[in-house]
Amino acid sequence: MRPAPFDYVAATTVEQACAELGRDPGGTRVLAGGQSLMPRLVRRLDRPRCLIDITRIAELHELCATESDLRVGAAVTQRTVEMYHATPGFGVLAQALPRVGKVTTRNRGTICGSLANANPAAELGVCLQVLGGEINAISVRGLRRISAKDFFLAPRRTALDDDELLHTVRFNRPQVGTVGHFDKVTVRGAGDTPLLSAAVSARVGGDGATDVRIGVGGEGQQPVLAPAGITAALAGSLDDAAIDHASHSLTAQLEFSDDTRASADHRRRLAVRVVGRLLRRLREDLP
Amino acid sequence: MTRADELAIQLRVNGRTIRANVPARMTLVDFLRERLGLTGTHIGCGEGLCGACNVLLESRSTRACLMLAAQADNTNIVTVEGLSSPGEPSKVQDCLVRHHALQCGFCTPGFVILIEELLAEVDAGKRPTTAQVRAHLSSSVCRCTGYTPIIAAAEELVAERIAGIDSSNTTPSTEAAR
Repeated sequence: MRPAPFDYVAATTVEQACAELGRDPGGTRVLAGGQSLMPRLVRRLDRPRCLIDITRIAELHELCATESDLRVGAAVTQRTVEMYHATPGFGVLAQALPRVGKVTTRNRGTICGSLANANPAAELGVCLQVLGGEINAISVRGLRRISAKDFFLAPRRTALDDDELLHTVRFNRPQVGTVGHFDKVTVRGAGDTPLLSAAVSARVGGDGATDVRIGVGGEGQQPVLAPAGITAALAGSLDDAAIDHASHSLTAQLEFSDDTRASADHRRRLAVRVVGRLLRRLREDLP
Repeated sequence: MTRADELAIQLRVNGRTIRANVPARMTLVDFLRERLGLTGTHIGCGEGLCGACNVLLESRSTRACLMLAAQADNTNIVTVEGLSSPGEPSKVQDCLVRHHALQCGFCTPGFVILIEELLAEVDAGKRPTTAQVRAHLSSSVCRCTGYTPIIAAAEELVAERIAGIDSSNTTPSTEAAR
């Protein structure tokens, strides 16, 4: 047995989970699919005193698509959303999901768990930024809504407080006429943690591209949406000069860091290339 | 350890109902190997990277090293031992052998699980492309074969299963045709 000892509580209601979390917020971790948490426990990078299993809470299995959004409860696995009939309506999310981890980890890992663990290079965080949306966090103190753009504070750190449970995530449905593209770079192919993930989207019509969005995340830099000052200049025909200017000026603002797999500089160069390539792919979608 | 053997769990493993008391921190793979003696499920990296510990949980492949035995309470688990009769290789195992798709064999139980999951998806109506077969198998790591024979075996099995379904034109009755 490799994890250090802990208590295990299989909560059956959200109230019970919140009460347990409120008892010892610093020493308690929420366990859903465990595909991010368990590797940390077996390496003893984390030694919580208590785990709260939330997968037996019925209301956290909510998965529904409306005209305006896709709501995903905390216990819904990535694989379930990948196979969900309405997911193709959510552009970059539908493209990214089959590329998250491996089929075996998607069978257990949850959408909300990936967001809450906030690996900066994770595919789903970038998708949340580009689609926009909201996080519902719940605790004994009540329900709190956190906008997607305010959710990621730093690599592996979110706006969730220690006693809060990520209850549901809401992804906004892209407007009619929106196209998006997702891509990521890995060292060892499928299933490897990406060096960076990136996604772009825009509404395409007779007057060219409007509402251009770019999301990027990678080690050192939590998933962010490019500021309007950069993307506004892309509206229209998406010509090469505009794309080069946007990808360079966006990348200059990103704060990638070095790790054992790649340097910060390598990630910056990758970001320029990948964002540029995705925007050119977007240009091919113009009528 | 102060809190040993405090969680009572009940689960089905290879069709058999098991009741046990387990420590909270015991992983499923340790439970299967040490308590039930089902050593066909291997421990490679123990951190979810390699896939040697894949088992079917409710017909879906799962890393048994990234799951607590306590989380398996009230679930249905099938290990590689449950996919064939003793001394008699299953169709999948037989096909892997014919393709020389194993050398040391350490990763093979994980691949057998993945291929069974893939075949269950075919039964459920999916028609995976070559790229999708490869993506599915990318879940496990093999250090001997270079993957080519494993992919060839999986593709042959998928093609054979699809041909079988098309010729009979009836819905097969596997437990995974959910």
